[in-house]
Amino acid sequence: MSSRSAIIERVTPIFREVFDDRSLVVTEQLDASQVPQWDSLAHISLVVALEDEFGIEFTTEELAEMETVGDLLRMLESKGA
Amino acid sequence: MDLESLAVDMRAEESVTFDDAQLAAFRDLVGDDAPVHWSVSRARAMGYRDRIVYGFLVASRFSGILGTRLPGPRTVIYSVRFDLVAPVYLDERIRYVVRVSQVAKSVRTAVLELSATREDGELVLRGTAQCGFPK
Repeated sequence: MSSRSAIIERVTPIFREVFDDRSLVVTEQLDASQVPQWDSLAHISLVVALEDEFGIEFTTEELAEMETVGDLLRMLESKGA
Repeated sequence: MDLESLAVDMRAEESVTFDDAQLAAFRDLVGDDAPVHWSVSRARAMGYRDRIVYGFLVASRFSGILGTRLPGPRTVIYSVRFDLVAPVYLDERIRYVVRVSQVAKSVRTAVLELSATREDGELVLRGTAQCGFPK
């Protein structure tokens, strides 16, 4: 399994839990506009859960640059996920 | 306390008991006069040994701890999840513990574990709270 696929496999249950959608399919193209439940509070919960899962910390600059799940995956890879 | 001062494993604790006056005030505030809280016979018929304290009242004590001590008055509660694991009875001492489990500075948010136990250590409530530090 590629590194990218392995990361998607780890983030998928987090996305499904935060957005309370067991059928949510996480793709690199996914962004907030495609998920109705993705509001500012859910975004905070998502970041908190991802930092906990991967043992990392994002910077505010990184979060500001993150527009799609693909951006998120690249950031996680750069942090050694 | 500010976000920069917060650290994992910081704790705040308190112990309280609940009496009839508090139950009556809560009942009047929220409009819940369910008999399990007011009738011994009805409570026992439902399987409890006596009248039980409102679950939301038990949980409400965390508002005071979160809002005034840990993480304190510079935060607002974003979300709370809790399980009412066991009933609480009037006049029994309940110990509340709030522990910082995660600090996410990127989103100015703290995650806290919540627990409430009887004097013998039996868990009555467990939960988590996310509290934010608005700029």
